[in-house]
Amino acid sequence: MTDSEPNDTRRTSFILQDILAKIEQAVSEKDEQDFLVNLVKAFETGGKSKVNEILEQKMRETLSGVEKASAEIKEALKEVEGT
Amino acid sequence: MRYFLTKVEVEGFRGISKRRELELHPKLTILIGPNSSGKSSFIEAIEWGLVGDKVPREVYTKRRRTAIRNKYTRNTEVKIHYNDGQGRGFVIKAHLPRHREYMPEIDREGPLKGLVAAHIGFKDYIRSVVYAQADPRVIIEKAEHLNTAIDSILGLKAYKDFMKCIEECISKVERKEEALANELYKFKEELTRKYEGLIRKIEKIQSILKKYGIDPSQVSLKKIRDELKKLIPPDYKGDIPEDVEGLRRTIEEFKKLWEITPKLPTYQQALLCELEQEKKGLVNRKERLKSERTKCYEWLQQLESLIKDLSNIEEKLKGKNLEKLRSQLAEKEYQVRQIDNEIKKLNSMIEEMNEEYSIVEKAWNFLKKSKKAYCPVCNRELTTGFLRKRATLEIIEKRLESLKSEVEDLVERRDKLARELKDLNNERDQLEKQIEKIEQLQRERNKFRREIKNLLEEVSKSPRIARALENPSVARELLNETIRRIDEEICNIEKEIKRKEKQIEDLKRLIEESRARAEELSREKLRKMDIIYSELEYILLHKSVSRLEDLIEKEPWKLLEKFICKLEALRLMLIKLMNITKEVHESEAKEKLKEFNKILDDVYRALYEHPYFKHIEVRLKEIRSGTEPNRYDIICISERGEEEGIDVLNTSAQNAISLAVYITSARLGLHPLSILLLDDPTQTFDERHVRKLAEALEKISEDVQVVVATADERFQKALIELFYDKAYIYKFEKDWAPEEGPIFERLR
Repeated sequence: MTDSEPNDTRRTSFILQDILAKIEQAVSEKDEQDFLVNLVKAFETGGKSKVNEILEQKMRETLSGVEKASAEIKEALKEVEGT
Repeated sequence: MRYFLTKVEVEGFRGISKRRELELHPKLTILIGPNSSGKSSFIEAIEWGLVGDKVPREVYTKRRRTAIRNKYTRNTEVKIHYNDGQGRGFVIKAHLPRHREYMPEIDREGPLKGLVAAHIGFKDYIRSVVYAQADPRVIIEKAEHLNTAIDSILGLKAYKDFMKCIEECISKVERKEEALANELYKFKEELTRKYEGLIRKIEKIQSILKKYGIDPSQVSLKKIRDELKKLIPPDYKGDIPEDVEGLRRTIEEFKKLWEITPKLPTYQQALLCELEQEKKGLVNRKERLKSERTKCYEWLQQLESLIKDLSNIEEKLKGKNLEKLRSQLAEKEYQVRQIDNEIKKLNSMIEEMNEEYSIVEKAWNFLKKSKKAYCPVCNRELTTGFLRKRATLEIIEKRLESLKSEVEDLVERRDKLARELKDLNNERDQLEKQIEKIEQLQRERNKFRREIKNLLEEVSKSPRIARALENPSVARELLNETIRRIDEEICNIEKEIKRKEKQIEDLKRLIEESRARAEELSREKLRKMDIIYSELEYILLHKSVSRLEDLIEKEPWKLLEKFICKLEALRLMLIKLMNITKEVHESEAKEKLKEFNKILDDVYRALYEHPYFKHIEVRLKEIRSGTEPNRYDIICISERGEEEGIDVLNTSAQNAISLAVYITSARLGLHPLSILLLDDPTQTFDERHVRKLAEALEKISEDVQVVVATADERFQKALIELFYDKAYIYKFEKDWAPEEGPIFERLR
């Protein structure tokens, strides 16, 4: 039983509003601001699991192409393996 | 908009056996009466009915409240009626199933159904029930519970949960960042290792090529192909490829082909085999002849030995007449039989004589003993008298002597004949032995003759002789002749073998010389092949180095570094969010604390009058994230501004502080339903403070619904005096039957 349960969001939402207001003040870059706002709202609506979902998605976007780059490097190293 | 309880119905709960109802005042309900009159059962029933399924077992165990069920009734039930502040009434029904000891099944109706019930226990006699977001089951009985309780009262737990969530996000990004950094480090390390390894290899091959007098800068695929064309092995059928891999495979193939010992010319090989075969045939033939010769020798030896033995026997048989000896033997046997018969006759005569002699001797003995007798010989009656007897005895004596002498003669004669018989027997035995010996010799002679015949038959079967042999002397001559011929043949074969051996020796030498020349050529080819291989390897290494240099030039790690930077940016963003949350959290906490402290101090001063420490204040010591509660200090402050921890205060002052902390939280207006349950709260208070508490309840009950039970007459008096018209006051009777339940009445 935690305060993040759907029926107990009244107080949480009140608190998160403060954080959202502060984010708007403290973060100037739009993308960054959007991401953090999304994260806070995700916590408000879906709790920890929703936040994790948003973060996973962000990390996927951030690391898009990392596997390809890594594979290319490995391929290049493999090419000279026989010599 | 505050909710408040309107009525409580209790049945079968602790001291309350039969159903009892208690209407509750929206602000203050007072239960007064002596000890053990059932007041506390109602206080506990309200708590159990509201949060009985939220209170951990240890709370019940600790308070020794295991006996929930009343022993006089089967049913244990508490019904709590409440109002939502807008005139709508709802019921909370708590029921203890038969199989449970304390945990009720609670059926909640109305808006409270969706809220979280929380239980805050400060001391055994001060309990509160709230329906809110607050952290449930907070018990301030030890100092370490205080931080959690204040966090909960200030409503800061939501921050903490959010911060914990962000913290987890940061650590997740950090882990990913670390994994990528590790991958990048490994990649760089491997790249460096491989590059250095290739350079070392190139240097080594360069030195090899220089040793062979080859300028590495002149090495090319075209040159390698041209050189390979000069080294094509005779058995190779394919073309020379143009690509590096193809050339590498071709060199491997060439090397294998040149490594095989060059084949010898076919005619030399065949000749060598033929000679070897011929030599082998000659050797076999020689061996065969030798064995034939040995056989002839054996036969000859056997023949000579048999002839010698036979002639020995013939010599022994010479002059021996077997018929004559046999007739002599027959004659001797006849004589022996004659003498033997005569001896038998004499023996019988001797026997008769002896018999007669014995009769006569008996007669003589008889006569000598008897006076009158009959002659045992003639059976006549003998005349008595000495003369007659004497005459008779003389006759008998003479007869005895005559018989004795006759017997002696016969014995002598018989002994003489016996000796003659013995001699004759000896002679006969000798004759028999001679005959037997001659017969033995004759048998042996026959045996040797048979053996000689068999030997001649065997010899005549030999392929070299192959004709019937009549006598041993012919066979002897023939065998000697055969041996001589075999010797000649062996001699010829030995000469032939020596000739063949010489030819083989010459041919082998020739072959060895050819092989050595071929091997030298092969080695030369392989050496050239090694050089070409080194050249090719040099090209390949250069290609790999170029590939790595290209890779280094492109700086692919920059891409990974970029990703790491992106992750770092994400992490920093999350840290920023964390800091913002912390900041908001801290300012919120400080803001709340300011308000909280103002009310707290008022409540404390209303409840308790300490001679020195007039004020109390809660201070934020440290904001903490995650599950750890923030750190707070409760400070008591003197009029002169001196500060101390509350542990310097006495128990009653500390109780007053506990009560003040709860009342303050209720006044902050954070919970839709707050019930303050006070069960004999004045235990540690003096009369002055009892009065102060009673007075404070007026103000407290404005913010929070209070149910207070007390057996303290001082407190009862103060409460009646202050709240007679403003609250519901129930008076409980001292005497009541346990099977019926408590007896009480409302004063107003």
